[in-house]
Amino acid sequence: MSTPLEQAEQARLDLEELQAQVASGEIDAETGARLRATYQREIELAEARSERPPAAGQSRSRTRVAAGALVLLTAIALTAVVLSQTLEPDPDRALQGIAATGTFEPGDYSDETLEAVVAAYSDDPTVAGQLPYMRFALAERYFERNDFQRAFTHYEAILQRDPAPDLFASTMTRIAWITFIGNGEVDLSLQVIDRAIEAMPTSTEALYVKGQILWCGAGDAGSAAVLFELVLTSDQLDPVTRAQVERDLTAAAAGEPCT
Amino acid sequence: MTRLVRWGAWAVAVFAVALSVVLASRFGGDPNLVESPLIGRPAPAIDLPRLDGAGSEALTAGDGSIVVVNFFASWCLECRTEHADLVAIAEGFRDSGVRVVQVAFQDDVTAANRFLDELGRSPSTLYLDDPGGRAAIAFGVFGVPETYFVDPDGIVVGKIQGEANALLLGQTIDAIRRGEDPGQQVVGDVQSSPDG
Repeated sequence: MSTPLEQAEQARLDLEELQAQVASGEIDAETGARLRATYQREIELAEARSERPPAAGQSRSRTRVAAGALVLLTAIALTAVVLSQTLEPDPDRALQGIAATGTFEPGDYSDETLEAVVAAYSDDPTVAGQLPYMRFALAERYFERNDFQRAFTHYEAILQRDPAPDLFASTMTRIAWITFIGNGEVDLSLQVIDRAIEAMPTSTEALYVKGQILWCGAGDAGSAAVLFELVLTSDQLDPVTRAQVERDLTAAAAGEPCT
Repeated sequence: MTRLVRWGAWAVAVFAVALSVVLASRFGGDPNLVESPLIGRPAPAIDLPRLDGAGSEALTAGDGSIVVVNFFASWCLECRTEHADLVAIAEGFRDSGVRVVQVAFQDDVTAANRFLDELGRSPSTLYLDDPGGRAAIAFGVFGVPETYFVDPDGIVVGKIQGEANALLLGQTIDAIRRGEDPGQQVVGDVQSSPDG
């Protein structure tokens, strides 16, 4: 557990890192301004409580961002499961209206091509069943690069077209994550993730992300542990993801803050 | 001497048969299936007037961009269908070193502009007129729609004959960006005149 002065120092380092990320375009200006205000507030708070030990389980932005990177990777591993199930050769879902070749494999196309296709066919009823999955695959690329603004545009478009429950849950999970890591909105992100779980109660990624938000955002390690346990009952987890969730469960069950 | 004459006659006959086979395979079949002679060669360097009347532009700028040259006409049904895909491609690749040029084929400026007004224009696409069909002749256009792809070195590396779509257009551009030569793809019929 670090001291308030160490926390203040860490927040200063976060601020420097943020400036570099904004300068390189990794984080957009609007998000950067919001995070900058948060870090500065943390510096002031940490300095103000330098005579007192921080409350147990209190989260800080650095911890949250580090945990964020971890949860992001894990969530993507979980998504890969979802997507491979969805986009495996399925004649009803192949983009036959656009590509005479039949099955559509998003990995074969550039961002620009996918952008053009979703723009040209967004209102085409003959591909209405397939297009949201193509759009989701495109949004995932932006999400993986932390380009949340571009990703969000596509998630929003998916939601506007009444997606299937699996796609709705995955999309809401991403939005919950963006709301949490991008905007620091714990309560709102929990409301969003609950919508995802409501639509798809067995969604391991939604359950896992909710656990992360509770643990790293709300400091509720106990509730997070319960969710991680639930995630581990799934037989769809790859070994790497399973090992990560097990580590998280151990730490959360022990009441440790997320790291 | 007689043997020599016989040999000569036989050689001439063999040559004639071979020539007729070659000519038949080249001209006797579907002209849509004849490989464009332009593929692998430098793109024609031609300046054409803009459809909006604001001066003229080089068809291929030679600035290291990939250039997509689409020949269209207001009287061509397939051109109407593929137009939205071309606009989407122009927008999707706008910041990625790809330039889309649409050239009116055997069309009058008013009709071509009306077609674009109705179906939409991309701000990043060049819309050009082709008076006298200079560009169409230089590219060897058989009918519309036809779309040519020029690589960053100014070489024509691909052609789509017939109605293209955003996925096919993007896939072809992606291949060129990977350094591949997509070659000719025949995906549908073309119209060589308003009468068909």
